[in-house]
Amino acid sequence: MTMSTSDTDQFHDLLDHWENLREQGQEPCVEELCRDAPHLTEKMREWVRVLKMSEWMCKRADDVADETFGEAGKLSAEERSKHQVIGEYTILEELGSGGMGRVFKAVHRKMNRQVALKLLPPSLMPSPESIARFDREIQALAKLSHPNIVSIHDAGEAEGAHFYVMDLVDGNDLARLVKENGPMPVEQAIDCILQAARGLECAHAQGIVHRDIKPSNLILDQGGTVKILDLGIARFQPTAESSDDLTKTGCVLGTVDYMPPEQALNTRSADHRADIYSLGCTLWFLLTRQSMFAGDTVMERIVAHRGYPVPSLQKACPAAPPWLDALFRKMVAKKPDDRYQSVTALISDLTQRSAPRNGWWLKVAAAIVSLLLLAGLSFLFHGETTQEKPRKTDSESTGTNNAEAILVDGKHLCFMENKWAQGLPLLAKCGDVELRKLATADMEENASTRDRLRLGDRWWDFAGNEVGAVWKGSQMRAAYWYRRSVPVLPRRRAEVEKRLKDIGEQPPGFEVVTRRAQVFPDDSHGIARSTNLLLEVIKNETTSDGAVFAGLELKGVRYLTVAVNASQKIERLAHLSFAGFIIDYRTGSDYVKRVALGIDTFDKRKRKGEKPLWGKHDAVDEYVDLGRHALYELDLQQWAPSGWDGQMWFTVALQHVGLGTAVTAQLMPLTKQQEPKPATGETEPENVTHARP
Amino acid sequence: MTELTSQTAGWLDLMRSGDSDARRRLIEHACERLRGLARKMLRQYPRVHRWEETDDVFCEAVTRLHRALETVRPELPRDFYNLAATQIRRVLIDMARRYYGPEGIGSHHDTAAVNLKGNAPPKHDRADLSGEPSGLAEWTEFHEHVEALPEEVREVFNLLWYEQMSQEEAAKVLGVTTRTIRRRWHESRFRLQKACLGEPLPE
Repeated sequence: MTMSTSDTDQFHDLLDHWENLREQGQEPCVEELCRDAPHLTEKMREWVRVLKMSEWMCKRADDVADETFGEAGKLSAEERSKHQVIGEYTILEELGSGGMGRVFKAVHRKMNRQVALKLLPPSLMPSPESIARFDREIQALAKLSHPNIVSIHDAGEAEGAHFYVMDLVDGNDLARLVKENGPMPVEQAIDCILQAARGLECAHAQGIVHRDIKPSNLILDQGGTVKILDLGIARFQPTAESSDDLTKTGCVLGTVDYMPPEQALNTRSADHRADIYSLGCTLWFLLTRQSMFAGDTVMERIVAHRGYPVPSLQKACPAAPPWLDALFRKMVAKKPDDRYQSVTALISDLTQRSAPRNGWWLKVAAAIVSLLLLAGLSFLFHGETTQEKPRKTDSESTGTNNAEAILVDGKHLCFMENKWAQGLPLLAKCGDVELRKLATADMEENASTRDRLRLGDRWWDFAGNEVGAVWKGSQMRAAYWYRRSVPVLPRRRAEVEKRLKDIGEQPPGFEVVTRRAQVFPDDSHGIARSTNLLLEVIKNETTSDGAVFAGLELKGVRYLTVAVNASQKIERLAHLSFAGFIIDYRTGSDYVKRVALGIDTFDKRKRKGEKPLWGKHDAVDEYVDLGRHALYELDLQQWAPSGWDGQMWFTVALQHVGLGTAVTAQLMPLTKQQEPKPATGETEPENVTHARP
Repeated sequence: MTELTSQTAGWLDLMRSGDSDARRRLIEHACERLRGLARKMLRQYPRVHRWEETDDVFCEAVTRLHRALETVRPELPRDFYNLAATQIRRVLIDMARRYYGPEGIGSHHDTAAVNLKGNAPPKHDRADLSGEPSGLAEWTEFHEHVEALPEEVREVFNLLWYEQMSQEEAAKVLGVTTRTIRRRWHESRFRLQKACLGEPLPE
């Protein structure tokens, strides 16, 4: 033992020594330790007593790491790279990490072959079923052999961590290449997309969809071959089955820049055309070094993919020929039906168009096609097909104007310069503000479930184009949101109202339709959570604070993600209804404070001996209504959206309410108002086992 | 510099130059740490777990960090780690207060499994046998004691306990020897445990 000069140094050296001996399983005697420094014995005894009690502080770090990566997680990255042996493989170094785990360079000990080994976190394999599914999937993937696919040739489990083994590709992924070297030349980008498409063609033929195509999953090797990485693995990303993981950015949310709209709605329902969309987004990135839709937040980009017009590739990359722009647009069409229906078709188109055109017949054919296209366009412009109009407008006005608004009483729509709504009856027009009427069938009392669903969808679509406008009674309590613009509708409120009166149209009123859900025993957990959410809101009085928006945004996206991935309607409804609540959260409206938080109602209920609102299992539907109430209660004088995050958040919350209403209608067709099922006799939430979906 | 630290340094540079993605990554990193700690704390307390999901804690931490990073622009990884640990601690403290403070929902809601009649649940869920905080109230105190540690000692505790770095990694971040790290680690544990026990520090 090295003795230091000062007592302090000596004391701490002794402590180190004591701890080392403890780690070796010994129980050193303090007196023995301090034999050469007896004056330190008493102090040492006291420290040893206290440090022994504090050993839980040392254990905690290990435990937490263990939760993330199992036994393998106990090692730091450096230790792991030096010492770890996983199955038959010895880890050499860490190559990278992401939401799906860590990738190591490893060597097979017997074959002495270098491979890439991906270690998946245990959270991806929450149950024996998912492990079995993983094994089956790996078996299928192992059969794939294509020069443009990184082959998987082994998989297994070691110390609680699942892993699979791939070819080690000597090259860089396209994301890194573009980030380091700038946008690719058009020819090279086309070649990369073509190669990736060929790999996908092979996978799709085997029924395997990638679902996470992005530049960082495409590796360009030294020989110029593009190889697809992680094929078929995306489906093991956390889903609603493990909702704890849903908000782990980097997992579900990490790849939204390349995620098609339908996949944001339901990952499992996305088919091979989702890969085509993602490949289109990848093409955009390769040529521009940017994501197709800019946005500071995940949610902003999700909504953009769903609702924003496709930007012009030619504008962003002037070197791109017009045909490539057209091809790109077809790849990234919002609706899967409008895209290439197979990668084979895409390859065929890409190959033909990118090939040199020397033959005279090609020129003639091109001229004929152009004429036909012109004729077609002419027909569209003069015909009654209004659906094509917004596309033209959208492409002309990407992200700059073309404002819209939606009137969410279900009866009227208020638009500004919105071409989509041109087929609807125009009630009033004030400058560039238009008030239009929805088809009456939408909200009639006897409207069919299908009509209501359609309305929900429509809200979704409209809201996806960034809008919010609300009328109530004789007042327009409108909120208008549009990308980086200033509120317009509120300033025009008086003007709009006057015009409405001039034409004898009363501003639409809002009828409270109380729907009562049946008993939802599974919802008490969620209800408690949303209650908690509300309590937080009121404590956080910083509703105009951009930072609060950011947190809410995550929560909103989480609810959205859970809801769209929910396999059960009840579950979906519950999550959608929470989103309605988040509107309250954002606005902090008096109505919500009064009703939902219960300054009035809750106390009254309590005095009457009733259970609080959130203690009732049939209250889920009330939440949807409450969310809607809050929406209608927006007071623009107090409502001061201060950041883009907040505005976007509200938009998504609006979508939630629309969808929530639609789903509610689907579950419980509104025939007559039903009395709520008495809460009495129901299990109290405290006693409920919180069955998680 | 370790891989993590150099990565953090890179993110900080990017964030200062206005890269919002870098800020997101920094927040994610801190939240991953927080998630594990919060999950463990809450797992032991079913009554709280009823209201609070770790993801809720996560969201709150994001909010706090987002706000903190807007006003404070850490220059070095060690500055960021200190900031993150402070925010994590405050989230955990608030989380405990939220439930057991005078207006906390834990004080007004009754959980049949624990207490059928009383409105105020007992402060501690289980007996203290190990020296580890055994109730949320104690956890609150613990985090507050961390706040009160001398700066040098607290910094080491932040890295080793909240950030879960190895002593070698922490030494590189702070630019000191591992011997110094060990010494400060001992001291932080000693001070905290004494504080948790309610015993005065020796002269």
